[in-house]
Amino acid sequence: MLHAVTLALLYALMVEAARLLHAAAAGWAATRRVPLEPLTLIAAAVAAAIGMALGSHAVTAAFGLVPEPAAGTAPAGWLGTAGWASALVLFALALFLHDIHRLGRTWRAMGADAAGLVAIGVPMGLVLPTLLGLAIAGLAGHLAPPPAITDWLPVACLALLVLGLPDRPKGGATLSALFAWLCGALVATLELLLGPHWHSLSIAAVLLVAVRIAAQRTIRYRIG
Amino acid sequence: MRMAPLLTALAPFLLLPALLAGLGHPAAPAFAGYAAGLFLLAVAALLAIGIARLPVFCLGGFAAAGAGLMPLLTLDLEWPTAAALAVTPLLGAGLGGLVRLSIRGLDAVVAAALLLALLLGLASLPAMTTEPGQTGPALDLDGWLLLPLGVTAALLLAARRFADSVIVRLHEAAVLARLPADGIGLELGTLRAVALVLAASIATLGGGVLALGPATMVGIDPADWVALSLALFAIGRLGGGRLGAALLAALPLALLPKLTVALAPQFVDLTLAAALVAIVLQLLVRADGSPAWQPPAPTLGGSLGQSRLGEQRWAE
Repeated sequence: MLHAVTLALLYALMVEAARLLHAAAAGWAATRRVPLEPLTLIAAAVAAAIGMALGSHAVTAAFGLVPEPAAGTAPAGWLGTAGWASALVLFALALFLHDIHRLGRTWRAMGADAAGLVAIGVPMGLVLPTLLGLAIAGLAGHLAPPPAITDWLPVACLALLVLGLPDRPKGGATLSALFAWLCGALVATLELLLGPHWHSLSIAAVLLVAVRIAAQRTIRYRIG
Repeated sequence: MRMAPLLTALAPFLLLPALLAGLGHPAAPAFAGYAAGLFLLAVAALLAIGIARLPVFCLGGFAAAGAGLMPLLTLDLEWPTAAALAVTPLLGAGLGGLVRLSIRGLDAVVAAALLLALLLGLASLPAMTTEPGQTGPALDLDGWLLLPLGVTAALLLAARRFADSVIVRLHEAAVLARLPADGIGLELGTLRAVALVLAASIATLGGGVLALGPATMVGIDPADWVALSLALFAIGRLGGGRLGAALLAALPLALLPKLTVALAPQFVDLTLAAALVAIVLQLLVRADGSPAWQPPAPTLGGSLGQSRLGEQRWAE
């Protein structure tokens, strides 16, 4: 059960980090007139997911934080407690800034159309979303359980979806974090209920349906 | 297609297995099968990712489906191994067609997310159809062998005709000049559908070859197939529209990591790490060698072409 809660929180952290870093990257690219093409976004999200998987595996193996890879537990002791406390504080701060504070309006606009903002002379505030995104991603990597593809491949899918959805309404960050939390809980619960093979297949089926529904929403928003 | 660079790139795929066989290494047959399967997968990556520029992350998943089909046909239905191998492209054609229908009209990032989810499901198939510790089906040297050889030759010939077609050349020129393909009258829907179905057929055949036994280099662990799939994505992007470049990219990304494992089984398989390095390098350096953090050089398409490419969809 602890694994389910851990994984669900990690999913929420990773998706929020992806959203913040995407806004910062879009602002940076618009300032420097570098085109941010879809394949670049895709490659960046997938590279981040692979990096998280390999990085957390290397950290857990190097420091012996988890005795057996199948244990599926986060770092224990004061290191884990401090990590979780920092991650939750940063996560709450990021959600507050993103969805309630006036900064969130700029970040949402940067994620949607940074080039348009630059064209009308709006200054890009890149430092805060970059630092917040990197800090949350780093802490999530530190707290991550030993990676299995059924854990990190869905994270990559979620990150891609967050980057792909063009609508950035107020409250969208909280909603996507909640959605990611539920996905993480679902992944971990299915792992408890089913064997490894059926677990992979069921996650793939759920993801396919979820992505297809989200894709329909994307198209509708684009047309509208 | 110029042959000299292609033969140069193909040389390691022939020489390394021959070297292992010459040394009398027990992993030589398995590595030779892996090299042959990887060659087919590199061709599939060339078609779907390099030429059609689709965000296909599930090529390794197609291969896993082919590998998963082999034990079903050979052990459960008791087909000859060669006949089972010849049938695998049919599964790939069906899967490729379904994938094409499912990503039709989607944005690139959403299509990529969908194909990553599909990869997770397909990569689990070999583990579901193969018993733990079961050896792969062996290929006998009899008349049936002509069947998969003929199918392979036909698929490779079709791939070559497709890669050399006028529409593919025009598409490549449009991409290089950053011109919107529909602006110069190119119909990309058919091109992408043909590329995906052909690539999926070749990838399942490659997966079938990888599953040939008695020993195999790629096991039944889904993580192995996912790592191979991500490496193929990097190979397709590095190779662009040239088979020689794709084969050269496959050398450090997929062939050498398995060679080290074949030589010393206790060595860690670095396929996934190599794919990560390649993807990050592609993010940092453009195809023309310029750093990605600087504005791109002006092109024939100009800013109009760039903005149209940025809004590009995979619908047509």
